[in-house]
Amino acid sequence: MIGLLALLLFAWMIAGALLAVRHADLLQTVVGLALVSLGAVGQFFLLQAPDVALTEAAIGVAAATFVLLMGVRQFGRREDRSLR
Amino acid sequence: MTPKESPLPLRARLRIRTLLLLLLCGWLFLLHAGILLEHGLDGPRATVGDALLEGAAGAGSANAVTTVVVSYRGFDTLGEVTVLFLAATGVGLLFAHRRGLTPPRDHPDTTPASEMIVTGVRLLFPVLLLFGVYVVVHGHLSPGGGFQGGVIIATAFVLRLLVERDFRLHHATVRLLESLSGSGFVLFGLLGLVIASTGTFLGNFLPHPTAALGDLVSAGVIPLIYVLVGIKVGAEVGAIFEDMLEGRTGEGT
Repeated sequence: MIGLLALLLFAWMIAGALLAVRHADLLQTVVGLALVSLGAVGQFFLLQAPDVALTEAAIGVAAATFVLLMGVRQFGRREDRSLR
Repeated sequence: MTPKESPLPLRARLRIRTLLLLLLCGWLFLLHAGILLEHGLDGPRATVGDALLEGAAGAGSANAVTTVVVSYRGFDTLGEVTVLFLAATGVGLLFAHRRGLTPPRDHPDTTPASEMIVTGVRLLFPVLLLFGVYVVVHGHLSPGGGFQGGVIIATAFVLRLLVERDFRLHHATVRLLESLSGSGFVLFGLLGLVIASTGTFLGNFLPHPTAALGDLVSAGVIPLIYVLVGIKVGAEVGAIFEDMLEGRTGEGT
């Protein structure tokens, strides 16, 4: 059961990472990174580390997303293809 | 250099790098699955963590992690808070220097947030604040504590900062809270050093009977220190976000 949940969370995180990598809209990319962090929250919880899970939820999902959103705000939503 | 000149080495290098990355991911996954599946088994283990957990019962704190973070490794926590303070100062310096020089490229914030979002955030604000205070105050009883709760409180303020254009944190108040809580942390540590019954930096000099395990007022000095850490972290993270956000209004004021 726990293994199945862990696999589901892995699929969730990989999907979030793919969303972050593939999407051209940077706002959606930030959402994808937040989804990866949310999956990590579940993983930490499964590993019986609720303290770390709470930290990840506060820092990874909320604070880091906010910092990235500030970056998107400064540089615009469109991905600059020339930087690839 | 055009890619036509030397396509082969570049492609080969990329492939090796991808392969290594895949290997790393697979190894991490196996490690993770191994740790996860091993959980139900009680094997004989002798680690530092077990020794700390055994001693943690005497500290009178229901959450052993908090005992380690605030009591055994209190000096490390002080260092972490100092690192966060330096980061906040650095961000403040960086953004104060650039304020007004780099307006956002396509001015996404010229349209005000809709009434629905403003009302929703105003409804959410007290709930988030209450949750953050709960996490801070119950740091010695349940998962969480000063760092997590402080960031949650800061997040509540950030939501309002994002949505309401004329909402401002009072800089002097934030700085004062930060300095007072930081000084309080060091003061508690020095008190533990001075008072003869403990004689160590950040020693638990208040009574912490194990009979009161699980009560809100228990574990002696640990919850007090964690409340101070919560105030300090909240003020610092809030100051970081405020500094980052103010870059946007440089052209507006």
